[in-house]
Amino acid sequence: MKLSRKQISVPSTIWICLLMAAMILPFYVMIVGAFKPNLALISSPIDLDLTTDLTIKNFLHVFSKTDIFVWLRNSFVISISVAVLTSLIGVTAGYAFARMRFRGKQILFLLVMATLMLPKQMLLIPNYLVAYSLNLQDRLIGVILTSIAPAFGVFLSRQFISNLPSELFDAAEVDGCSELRKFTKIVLPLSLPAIGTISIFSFFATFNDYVWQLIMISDKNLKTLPIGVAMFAQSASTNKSYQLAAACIASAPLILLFILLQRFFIKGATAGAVKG
Amino acid sequence: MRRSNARTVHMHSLERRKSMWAYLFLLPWFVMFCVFYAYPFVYGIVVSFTDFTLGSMKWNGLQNYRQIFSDYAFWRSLLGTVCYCAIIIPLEVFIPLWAANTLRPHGRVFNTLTKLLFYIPGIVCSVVMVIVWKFILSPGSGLLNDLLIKLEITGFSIFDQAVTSIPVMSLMIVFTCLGSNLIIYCAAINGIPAMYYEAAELDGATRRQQFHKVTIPMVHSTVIYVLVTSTIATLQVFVIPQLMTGGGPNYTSSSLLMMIYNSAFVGGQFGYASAIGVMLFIITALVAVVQFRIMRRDQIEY
Amino acid sequence: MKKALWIPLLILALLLFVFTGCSSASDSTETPPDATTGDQSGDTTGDSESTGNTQEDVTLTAWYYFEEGTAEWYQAWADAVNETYPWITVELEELPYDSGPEKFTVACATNTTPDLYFDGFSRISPAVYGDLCLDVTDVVTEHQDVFLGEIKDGVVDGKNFYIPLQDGGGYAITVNMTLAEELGVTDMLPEDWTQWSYDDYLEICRAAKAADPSIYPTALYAGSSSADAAYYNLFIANGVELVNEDNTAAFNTPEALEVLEFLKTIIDEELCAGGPATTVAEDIFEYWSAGRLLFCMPTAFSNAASFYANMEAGNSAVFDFKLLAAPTSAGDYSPDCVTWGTYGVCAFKNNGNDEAIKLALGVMLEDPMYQNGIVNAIGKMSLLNNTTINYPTEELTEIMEQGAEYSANYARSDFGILESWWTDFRETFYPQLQDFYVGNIDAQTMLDTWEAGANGVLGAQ
Repeated sequence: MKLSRKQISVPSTIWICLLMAAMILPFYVMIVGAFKPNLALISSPIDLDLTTDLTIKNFLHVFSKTDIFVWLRNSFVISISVAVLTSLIGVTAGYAFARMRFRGKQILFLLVMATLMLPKQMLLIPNYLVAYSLNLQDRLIGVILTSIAPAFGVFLSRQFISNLPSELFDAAEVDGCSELRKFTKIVLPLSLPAIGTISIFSFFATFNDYVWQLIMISDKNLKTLPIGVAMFAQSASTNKSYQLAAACIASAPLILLFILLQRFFIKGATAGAVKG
Repeated sequence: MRRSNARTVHMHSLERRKSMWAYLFLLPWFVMFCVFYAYPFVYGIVVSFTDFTLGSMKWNGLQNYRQIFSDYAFWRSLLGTVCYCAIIIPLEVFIPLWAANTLRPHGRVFNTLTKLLFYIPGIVCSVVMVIVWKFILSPGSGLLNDLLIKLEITGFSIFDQAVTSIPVMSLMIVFTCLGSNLIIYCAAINGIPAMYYEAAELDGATRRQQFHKVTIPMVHSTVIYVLVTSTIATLQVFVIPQLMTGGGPNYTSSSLLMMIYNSAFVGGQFGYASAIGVMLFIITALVAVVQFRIMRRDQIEY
Repeated sequence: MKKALWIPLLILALLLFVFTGCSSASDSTETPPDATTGDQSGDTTGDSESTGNTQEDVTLTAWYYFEEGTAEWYQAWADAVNETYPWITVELEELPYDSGPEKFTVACATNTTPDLYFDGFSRISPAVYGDLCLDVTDVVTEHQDVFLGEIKDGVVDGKNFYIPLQDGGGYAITVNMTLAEELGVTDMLPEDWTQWSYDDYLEICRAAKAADPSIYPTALYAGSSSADAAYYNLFIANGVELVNEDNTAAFNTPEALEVLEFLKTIIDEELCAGGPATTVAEDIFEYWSAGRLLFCMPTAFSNAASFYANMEAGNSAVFDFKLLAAPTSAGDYSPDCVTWGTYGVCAFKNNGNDEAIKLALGVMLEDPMYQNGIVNAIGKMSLLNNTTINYPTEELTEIMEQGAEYSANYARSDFGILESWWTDFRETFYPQLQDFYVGNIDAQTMLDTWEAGANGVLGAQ
């Protein structure tokens, strides 16, 4: 794309840079604080000098005192499964809503939209009752099944699939493709950006879903990262460096993953919103 | 005549087979919906007509709803929710739009970097972010307090009056949501053919005029989409105020979702909490429907 | 024809609703048979004491809250139970303080409680009054001689539904002596630690503030419903009762006004850390462990041990400290203080593991080792007479002995904390206090509004 330099607005660009600096600030504080001894953080003035008095003891303490790798594994198992299932459910239903004619379509889609508006905290208790009666509590599979929130995925993939060129589907129709074939050969490959977005969104949402996981999980070996970190931060409630170190450890995998996936992500995030 | 009849029959069976497929494709979603949304929601509505507390559940009709209307805390929380919305929604809708428009002429590296940095606050768990925010803003021992002491301002707390606490917490929330909206806007703006801008430029339009005359009309539906999703999310504002102020002083920084949570899990009044939940659902649905209506009307205008 | 398409859909929906409905219904109907089998198996053990291996295996779940150094003792108890009764396995779960109560509430509301639950009585009481707890009277009777004195908590109609194990001790104000020395206010501290007035307190605060404006003479809190213990302590010390015999609010008195005016003076003269209306106890402990707080209000004697533990662990600056009784307006007598009820264990009846639960509790009560370990780790006072406590330092031993004596003479837990209305009652206090702290209402209005709210709660009972 050719762009004329004239198009760039200098003051706005400066503002954006300032905003970015503001975005980084809390992370700077978090990271530097995590490398400082506690006394540097609780005395006044607070010492956040990058050049002096750095230590990795806080991290060693967190690693040695906690099962942080077990928490990580559990969080990843749960979040990845939820991501896969949510996007699968989203794409199948989204395809039906976008490309098929059937009775009750309007009403069913209204139900999808309504789910988006339900206050989650209200559903906490009845949802737990359902999970309990299906014997899903305190099991990873239970957390996975109850964490799937397909409405967003359905909505997004419906938008995306209805924007795909309809010639493709017509051609498949003429060739006498079965619905299943159409789905696997056309819909799935073409909606990969949407699938990517849905999985990444639900991955992060599940990874950070603290309250629900706390209620669902009791077993020590099934604890997830947010629960573990909250427990740890509590045990060190007066030690700010341990808390910040735990905060670092809890956010590092997510940030790394995001940076690795960012290209895929940024491409896909738009799938639902942009009208072709 | 007969032939067309046969054709319709054929069409019908084809249609039916297609419908069957549609239902099959919908099945997984529908199962999830029924088990984890519809049933719990119906259950929640039923509970809202009872005095469900620990260990007992008695039918008490509209009592919970009557109590809501005379409850100071409910009205305060409703007002609080409105205040959060009034600050958060415009910022969340327009800052990313402005940022995306600014980014348009920039190169890919700067674009990616900005999106990345804007997005990162959104993926870190709120529980974790609050640890950091408290370290910065705590009125007795935070970084900000340190600064204020240097300026000889003492005894001040951001969180002790809603006038300061709601804006500050709103900013924290906006912070976590800018990224995703920015990415959505960027894609929408990149989808605008460059020739529109070139034409505008040839006509001597300033950047501001280009923004108003080209960008905004072209991304109109995206703006509405962001508006609706931001509204739904903001009506359910919860984690940050809950962990920063707990809703105080005297519910001035409380939100409806916090009230639901606290009545249920601190007060143990599940019936009452469910009734507020139903109210919040109704409010959210009403607002969303109004916004969708406006969207549809505006689209026809274009 | 087209309508036929709706039929499978409808059937499916119906099936789902029936399925989910049934499974939750069958769950609740299944519990009683379960309970009876539990009882039967219990009877058989009663008949043949040592034929444990014919027992059906039982797994008990027990929840307790995280406290530094207690986990191993809970585990030791769980192992001992399994050793004595091989058919019983105890599964332990540690809860975090900030959201563990929510988890417990959900469990109570959905009848999915653990078998055993260790916590303070103030949080257990809703379950006891909600009739969720198992009657453990026979365990208590069997081990009557282990308990110090008569059990008052969790007794309904003469039956025990809760076993108290520890006590937090009376509430008191902790003073950072090292800081007092630095600020030169040591001489101003009361000679008799139980007798000092609001004026004394304020004078010391003013002197401290003048000596070093960057420290906090004291800190106040009203940020959550649990930010109230220190105030009830001030009220009780100043002769204010919370509730009358006839279940009406009793706190709207001139003495209560004195307390509020005292608090207001602290705020107006900036003798406390900023933002008292939204501060919570954890924040105050943060200032305290940074060594920047002279008087720490929300402390019971048991906190002394955790302060030491934090210094040991490097979570806190190191300094000397001392405990003082709450000041009163006249300051010429040793005041009563509140004690935040007891800590102990309750069992739940919904799982039908009654017999196993009672045996497991028996193991805990018979062998003092577990209680010793836990009590030594957290510094609470044991309510069992077979417990020996070895505090790590002499100073701490001294403080705790002082606390034990003081608590025995003056501590009261009869101000409402044991009642069924307590949870609702305390909800009425802190929003009003917040409004008072930020200056929206004056002391009298605050008391009036609080009284109206409290009477509403008390009248509804």
